[in-house]
Amino acid sequence: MVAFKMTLKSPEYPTGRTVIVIGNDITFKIGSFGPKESELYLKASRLARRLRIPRIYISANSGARIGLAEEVISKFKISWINESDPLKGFEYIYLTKEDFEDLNADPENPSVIATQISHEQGVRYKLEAIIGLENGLGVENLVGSGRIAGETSLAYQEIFTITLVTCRSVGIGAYLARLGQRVVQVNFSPIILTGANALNKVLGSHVYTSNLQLGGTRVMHHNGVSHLVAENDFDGIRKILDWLSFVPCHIDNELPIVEIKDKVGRLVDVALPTAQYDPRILMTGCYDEKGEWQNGFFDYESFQETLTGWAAGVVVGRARLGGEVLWLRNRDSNWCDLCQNADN
Amino acid sequence: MLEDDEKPHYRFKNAKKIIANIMLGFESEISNELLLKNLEVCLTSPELASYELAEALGPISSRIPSELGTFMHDVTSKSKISGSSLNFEVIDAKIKEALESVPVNEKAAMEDLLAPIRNIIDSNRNSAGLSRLETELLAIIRDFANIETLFEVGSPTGVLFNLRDQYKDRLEVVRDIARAALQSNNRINFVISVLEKLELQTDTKHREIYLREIDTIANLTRPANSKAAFKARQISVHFKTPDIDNRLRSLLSVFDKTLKKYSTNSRIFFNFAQLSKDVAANHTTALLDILPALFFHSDNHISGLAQYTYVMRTNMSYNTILSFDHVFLNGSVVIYWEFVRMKQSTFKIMDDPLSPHISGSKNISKRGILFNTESLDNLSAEISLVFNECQKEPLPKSVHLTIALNRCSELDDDDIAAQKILEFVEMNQSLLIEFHVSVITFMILIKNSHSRYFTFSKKLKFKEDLLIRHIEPNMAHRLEMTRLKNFNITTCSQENPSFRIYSARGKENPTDLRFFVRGIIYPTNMSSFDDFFITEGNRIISGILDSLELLIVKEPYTDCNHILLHFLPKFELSSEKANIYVDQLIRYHRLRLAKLMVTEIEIMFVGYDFITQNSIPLRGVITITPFLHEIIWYREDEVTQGRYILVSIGSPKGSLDGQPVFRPHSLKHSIQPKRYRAHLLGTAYIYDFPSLFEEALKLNWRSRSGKVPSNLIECVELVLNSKGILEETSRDNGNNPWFLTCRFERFRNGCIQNDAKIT
Repeated sequence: MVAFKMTLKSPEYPTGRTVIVIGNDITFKIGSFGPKESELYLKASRLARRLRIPRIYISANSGARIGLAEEVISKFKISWINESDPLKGFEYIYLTKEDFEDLNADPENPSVIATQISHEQGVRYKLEAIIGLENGLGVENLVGSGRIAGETSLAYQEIFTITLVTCRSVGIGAYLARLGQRVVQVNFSPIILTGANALNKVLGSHVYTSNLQLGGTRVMHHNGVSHLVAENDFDGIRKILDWLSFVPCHIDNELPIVEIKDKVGRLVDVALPTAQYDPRILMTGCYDEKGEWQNGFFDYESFQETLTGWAAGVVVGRARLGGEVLWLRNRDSNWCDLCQNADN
Repeated sequence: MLEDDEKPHYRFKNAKKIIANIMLGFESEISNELLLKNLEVCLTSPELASYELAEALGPISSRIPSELGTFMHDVTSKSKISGSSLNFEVIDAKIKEALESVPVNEKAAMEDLLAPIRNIIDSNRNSAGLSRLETELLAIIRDFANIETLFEVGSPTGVLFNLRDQYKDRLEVVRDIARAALQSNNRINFVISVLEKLELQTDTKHREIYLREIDTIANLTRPANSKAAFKARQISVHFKTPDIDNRLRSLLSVFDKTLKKYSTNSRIFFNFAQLSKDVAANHTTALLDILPALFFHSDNHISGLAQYTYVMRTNMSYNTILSFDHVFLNGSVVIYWEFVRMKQSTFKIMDDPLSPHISGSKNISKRGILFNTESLDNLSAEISLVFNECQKEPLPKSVHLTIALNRCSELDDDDIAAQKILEFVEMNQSLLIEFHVSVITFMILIKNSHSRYFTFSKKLKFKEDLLIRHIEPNMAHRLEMTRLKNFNITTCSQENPSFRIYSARGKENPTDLRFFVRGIIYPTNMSSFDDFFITEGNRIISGILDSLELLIVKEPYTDCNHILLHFLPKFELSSEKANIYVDQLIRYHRLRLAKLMVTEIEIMFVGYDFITQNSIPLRGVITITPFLHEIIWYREDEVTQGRYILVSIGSPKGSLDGQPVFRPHSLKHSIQPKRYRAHLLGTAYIYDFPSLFEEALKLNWRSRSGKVPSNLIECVELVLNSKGILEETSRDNGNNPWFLTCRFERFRNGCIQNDAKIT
C-alpha cells in the first residue's frame, strides 16, 4: 500500500489543490491487504477527512491476505490410517518432538497449538491449531479490512471519494470501491468478491470462464457500480481529473468557477427536433446537417456524463453554465434495448 | 496398397475443399501452415497425376479405344508403383493418335469423353511454366483480390446492395461474397500465409506473374485488409528490387567499362585507386554485399578492382588511406595499403576494447593487406610469400591482414569453419607475430549472400572475437559495443545481416536480462530520405520485431530491451524532418514494441544542418511505453579529441544532455522489475501514477488555454514511521532523486531510487 499527498495545478485551481492518493502496490504480495496495509490506508484516509480534501483510491489488489505459516509447511507429518494406501485417509496431522520444540521456542509467541500423544514410534504432538510466528496471516487481516471498510464509508459521507479500479479488485478491495461510491473502472479489470475458479469449485461445474464475466465492465457498468469506464490507466486518471474539476478543493468551499470562452448571454442554438432525438444534444450542442456547430444549453465541451450504462432512460452528469458547476438530470424517452443474461 | 484417404488425389481434394471453405469465410480447425504444407506435399508428389488420371479413366475406360485404354492403364499403374512422374508429351501424342483413328462422326463425342483427361494433362504442364503449387496459390490470392476489390468503392453495405441487384436470381453468390468479405479474419490470415509462401518461392522466373496479383492486394485500402496489404507491399518491394545476379551483372559491366577507359596500351600499369573511385562514382547502389563475389573473378584486373573498391568502401568512414599498392602473385592480386585512424571525422574515434583493430596509440600508420586464397591448406606458405613481396618498405608495427576464402563445402558450417580457422591460427601464431600481424580476419565468400567474417586479434591472444563474428571489422565500431560493458553478452541472432541481437545478463545483477539489438542500415538505390527511411526503416524494425518475438519465447523474462539503428547514408536532413518520419514509424509499431518490452530505441543519422552547412551526427532517443512515446534529438559534439557528448536540440532539454555519447547502458534500477511485473498484470506500477497525473493535467491545460504552467504537480509520499504515525516524505519535483521510500519490512533501511519519467 502506498499513499501520496499531491498538489495539482489544474485549470480550476491554478495555484494548486491538494488530494490524497492511496494505491495498492500489486507487486508486493499481489497487492493483498494485511494489517500494515490496512493501517496505512486508514491513516491516509483519516488525513484526507481531517484536511477535508478529495481522496482518490487506486485499487489494484487481491483482497485480504491469506497467509501461510511457512515455518510449519516443511515440518508437519501425517499419520495415515494405512501407511501403504493413503487413499484410505488419515487420522491426524502431527509434529515430532524436536520440531514442536523448535517451532514453539518462544512460549510468548507460539507457532502451533498441539496435544502430546504417545505412539509406538515415540512422542508425537497432534496439531490442534496453527497460529504462525508472523503477524498478519489469518483473521487479523479481516480485522483490518473491517476497519478500512468503515473508514471508507465515513469518508464518503464527509469528503469526495473516487476509486480507479485497475488490474483487479477483489474482496475487501471491491467493498472499498463500492463504499467509496464513485468508481472509474479500467477495461478488463474485474471487480469481484470471489474468483471464477473458486465459484466453479463450489458449484461443482464449469459455470464461469473468467472473472470478467463476474465483475468486468460489461457487468459493473451496466448495474450502476462503475460510473465511468476507461480504456487504460492513463485514460482513467484523465476521467478522474475531469470529475475533480467539478469538485471544490475543500468540502466546505465554493464550487470551482472557471473562465469560459462562451459568452454568458449567448443563445441556445439547438432547435428542438420534432422526431425522436438524443436529449444530450440539447445540453451539449451538436453539428447540424450543414456541419455547423449549434450551441447547446451548457458551456462548450463541459458536459461529463456518468452512469451511461445504467438505466438508459435517465441521463445524469455534470456540466458548467457560464463557468459555474451544475449537476443535471434529464430523461431519455427513446426506446432502448436491455439484454439481461440469465445468470447476471 | 494405400488406403483411400491416403491416396494423394484424395488428400489434394480434401485440402482444396478446406481452402475453398476458408476463402468463403468459414473457420477451419487445421492451422494455415499445416494446411499449406499438406497442399505442397500433395502437389509435389509425382504420383498425384497418375492417381488423378486413373480416377478419370475409370468411368470411361470401356468407351474409349481399347488400345488407348490399355496404354493409359499401363503408364498410370507403372508410375503408381515406381513413384515416378508421367511423361505427358507421350500421353498427349497417344491421345491425338487415338483421336485420328476414330471415325469422323464420332470424333466430337470422343473429344468430350476425353476432356477430363485433357484437363488433368493441361493442369500438369501449365503453359506459363508455373508449377501446380504456384498455380493453386495464385488462384487463392487472385480470388481474394477479386472479392476485395469489389469493396474498394463505397461502403460495404452499398456494394452488397449493388451486388444483390446484379445477381437477383443467384443470391447465394452475394451471400458467399458477403460472408467472405465481412467475416474475414481467418481468411485474411490464410491469405497472409499464402503470401508468405509465395515470398519463399526461390524460383524468381515467375515473379512478374505473382506481382500482378500482389500489387492489387498491396493497393487495398479497407482497414480490415491493412495487414494483408502491408505484407503484400513488403513482398512487392522485395520482388521489385533487383536480385543479386542482376546487380552483379550491372556491376561487372561498370567494371568492364571503367577498365576499358583506362587501359589504352598495357593493362599492367593502370592506377587501381583511380579506377576504384570511378566505379564508386558510377555506381551509387549498395556494393558491399556483392563486391566479394568478384574477388575470384578469372580476370585479375576485375578481381583486383573489386578488392580495391571493397577496401576503399570499408575504410571510408573510419580510416584515412595514405597509400595503395598491389602485386600480382601466382596469378592473383594482393592489395596492401597504409592507413591511419581518421582524426576528424563525422564518426568518432574511441578506445574500444572490444573492437580489436584499435590499439591504444592513435595516428600511427598501419598496414592493411588483403588477398585471396582457395583453401586453408597452403595458407601458411602463401602468407610468407605475401609478406616477402609486400616488404619493400619496412613493415609497420601493426598489420591488419584480411584473407578472402572462397566458399568450399567443408567450411559451410559456422562452428566447423571457426574451429578449422582457429586451428590454423594457433599453428601459425609465431609466423603471424613475426610479421607484426595484430588482427587477422578471414572472410568466407558465399554466393548471393553477405560474406561471413571471422576475426582473430593479437589482443585476445589470437582467439576469435565472437561478438563481431560476421561483421567486417571496420564496421564493428558502429555497433557501439563498449556501451555493453556492464553486461555479459552472447550473440543470439545473426541470420539477418543488417542487424544482430545480443542477449545480455547484468554482471552485477544477474536477474537483469535483456536484449540489445544493433542494426546497421546500408545505403541502397534510393536517393531521398523519405523513401529510404520508410522502406528500410520499416523493413528493419519489422525484421527485428519478428526475430525478437521468436527469441522472447526462449527468454520470457527480458525487459528494457534496447534497439540501436545506425543509418549509414548521409541525407540533407534536419532533426525536425527526421522527427516526422521516426514518429510515424514508431507510432505504427508502438504496441508491438511495447509488448516485446522494448523501452528505448536510438536512431543515429548523419544529417545536414542548413545553418552551419555541416554534416552533423544526429541521434534520436525514443522512450516507449504502451500509451505514449517520446523522441528527443541530440547532436553529437566533440569536446576534447575523441570524446563526444550529446547536446540536446530544442527545448526543454533532454535528460541525456551533456552525457557522453558512449555512456554504458546502466543496469536496471531496483524499481524496474516491479514496474515490469505490474505491466505483466496489466496495470501501471503504483509509483508511476504521479507522472500519469502530471501528463493528464498537461493535456487538460492544453485543451483549455494552450499554456502549461511549470511544476504542475507536487507529490509527497505518506509513510508510516516506526511509531505508526504518518510522515510526509518530500521530494523536489524535477529532481532526479525520486522518492525516499521507507515502508514495511522490505525497505527497513530505506533506499533512494531514481526513476525514469514515463512520459
